[in-house]
Amino acid sequence: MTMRSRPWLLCALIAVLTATLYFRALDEIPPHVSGDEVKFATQAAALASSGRDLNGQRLPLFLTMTDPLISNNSTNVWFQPMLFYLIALTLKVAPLTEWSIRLPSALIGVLDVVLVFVLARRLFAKVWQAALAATLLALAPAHFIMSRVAADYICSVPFTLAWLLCLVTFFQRRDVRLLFVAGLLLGAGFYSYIAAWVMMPLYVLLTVAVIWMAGERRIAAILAPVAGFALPLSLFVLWSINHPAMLHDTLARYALIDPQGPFGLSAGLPRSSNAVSRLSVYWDYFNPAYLFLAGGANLMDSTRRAGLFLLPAMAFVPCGVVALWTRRSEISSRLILLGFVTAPVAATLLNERYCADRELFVLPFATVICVEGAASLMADRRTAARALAMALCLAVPLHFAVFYRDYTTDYRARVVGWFDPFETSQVAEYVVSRDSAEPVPAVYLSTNMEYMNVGGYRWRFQMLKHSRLDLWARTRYFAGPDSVSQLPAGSVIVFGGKDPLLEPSLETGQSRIAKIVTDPSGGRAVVIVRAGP
Amino acid sequence: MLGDHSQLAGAALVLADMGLIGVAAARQWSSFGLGLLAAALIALTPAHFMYAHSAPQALAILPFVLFWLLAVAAFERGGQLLALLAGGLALGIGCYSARPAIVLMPLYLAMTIALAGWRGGHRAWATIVFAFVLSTLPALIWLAWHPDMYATYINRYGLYDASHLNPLQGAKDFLNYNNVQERISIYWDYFDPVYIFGVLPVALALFLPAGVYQLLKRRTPMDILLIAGLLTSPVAAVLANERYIVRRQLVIIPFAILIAVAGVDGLLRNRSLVWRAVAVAGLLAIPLEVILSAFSAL
Repeated sequence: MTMRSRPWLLCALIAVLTATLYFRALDEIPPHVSGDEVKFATQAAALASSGRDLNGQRLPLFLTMTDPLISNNSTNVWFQPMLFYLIALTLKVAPLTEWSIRLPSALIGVLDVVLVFVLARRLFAKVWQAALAATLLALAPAHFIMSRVAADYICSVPFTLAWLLCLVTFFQRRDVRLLFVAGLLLGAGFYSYIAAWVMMPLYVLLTVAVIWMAGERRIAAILAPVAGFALPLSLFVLWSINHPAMLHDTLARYALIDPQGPFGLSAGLPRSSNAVSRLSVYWDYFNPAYLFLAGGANLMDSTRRAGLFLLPAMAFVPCGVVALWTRRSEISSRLILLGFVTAPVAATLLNERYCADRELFVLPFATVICVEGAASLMADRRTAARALAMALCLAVPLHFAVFYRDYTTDYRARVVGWFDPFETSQVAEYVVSRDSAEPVPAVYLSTNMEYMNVGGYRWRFQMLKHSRLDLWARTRYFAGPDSVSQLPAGSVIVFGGKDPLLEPSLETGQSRIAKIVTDPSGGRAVVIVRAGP
Repeated sequence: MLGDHSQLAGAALVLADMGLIGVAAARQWSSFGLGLLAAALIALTPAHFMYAHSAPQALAILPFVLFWLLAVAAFERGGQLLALLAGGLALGIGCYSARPAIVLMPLYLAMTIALAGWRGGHRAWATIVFAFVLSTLPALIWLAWHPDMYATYINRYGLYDASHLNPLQGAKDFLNYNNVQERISIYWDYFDPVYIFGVLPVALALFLPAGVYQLLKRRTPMDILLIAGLLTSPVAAVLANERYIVRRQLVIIPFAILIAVAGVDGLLRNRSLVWRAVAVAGLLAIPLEVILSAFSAL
């Protein structure tokens, strides 16, 4: 029995290797927990413990991100539900730690690799091509990085892959039920990530278009994906009717509606000058420097020393596009090419340039294109082309090794300030240890740490991790230097390293520096002050 | 008075470009009508029109490029070495025309050597190299007498620190990961549709891809040369680390127009009535764009 005769053994082996790679040091790299991660974690912890989010909503479909330290706080930030519930399920069986909150994303990453293997088995004749697809996706820097954070960017990818799988299988078996399942997957995927609001309906249209192009004229075949999509979406309609603020807030937040404009129409969509500038944004999503060398503009999405894909993809993608274009009469070729060129639509609509997390939809299509490119080179009559294909395949793990070395060493230091500039874990450890030695009456966080409503979430995450919700109950925002004299003696006030409130608070003579927390570069991240003469 | 001379030079360059591209297109696609279309397109190209009025010296490179293209096409058709000699002289003399020419003319020489080597063997490429070296000899002698000029140029365009590094060290410095990444990004932006169809007539957004498709289908050496010319047009700007600088990429105009004319030809010959109608609509859009621009300028 060989891998060739039992492809599923090979798939299982790749999945195990991917899991080993993706789960390794999940709590340490990336360092600390980012603003989005603490929001997912703390809300999921609340859902796991009581079935309600931090606002007291029972099993909400969309979660609003109000600051948990401010009562009756309002915000226009709403998050998609999927990852909250996945983390909540994990927290039912595991304690809240950096590792446990990132586990669902990592599992999704492994699932993607299995799905792309199965998809490639359907699309390509040879087992090595499926193995290459799985390897390319598993080792794609963007996929690897996004699968190691407790944020929902990666959540849409398995739905896209499963939809593609259903569609490709439909073209082989012509079973209409597969189209219904494809629609159902897109409908469920709608709740996975905000960009899915644009991409999933687009994929429904794409489904209808390709089944029409394939000469399928049965009404049932046309309606099945639409019906499948509508089913999960009915929940969204019902929720939006009962919570109109969610839809309004979300569209306004991404400038898709202008509450002040005539008829509330978009400030960004219909005007021709905006449409032209969006074309430029769209164009940049195919910039080779972005795709293969530098990756997204945000350091949390990319190391900036590797692209969304590894360097060999720079040769595979053009070869694959040419090969698919040559066989454009085949419906699967059209589907993959259309998927590839439409991948940046959501990011373009939101007018965001080089935003890798909005464009992860490109991963399945580009991976298939890469394999197509490798296959076309391997099938070439010229020895040089075949040798090039082999060399490029061998370069995949080599370039990943270079990327991985940077990711686990230098990148950690580069990105630490992006994940948590306030070194909240060190602050929490100090406060918890001080409290056991000498009770801390109250903890005050400087309002300058409240940026993006994250300060409260960061602190709550640490208190949950240390099982110190009693300390959380004693935490407030710092009202300002004038209030220092009224604080109970021994209270802790936490200031950012360059906090303008720090010096005036010390000048009152009613507080003193207890500890300075430094970041890895030695800079002052946080100053912990204790109230009292 | 100086302004009058400048306008006269601009008008002369426009006429020269129109004449040369008209002949090039008419010969290349064997159609007088397509020659006229190419001449009209270059006159109505926004960047060509604007530079002819405001800074005609930037356009000085174009007649040399067009003459070289005509010469290469003549060699490609008849195999006469005299045509290559003229082409080589045009490239060499063109080096004195505008700053990007210092980078682009040697590049075009290399492209011609590849084509001539394939078509005419050693004598062909030796001829063009001889012509090029002959016409650039004064510059080479001048450079030998003024070696600091090389360093000044290299430093001015930020290629590398020529006062401390030798060319080999400079090349190594230039090819560092971040720099390569940045230069690829700049190169990509020179084909940003929003930028490029501000430089070229908007209708070329239809005809240029159609032309590339036509040329790639045929793939004659001249077709490949035109596509290579289009793709290498931002090289001087990329080396100088300058993004969206039209005057550094003006050589795109002749290549884009000749390719677009092939696109028009291909679309008008298409069996589908829809594509033929699209081509006619595209052609009508060209004067419409000019009228709209004139109105908005007023």
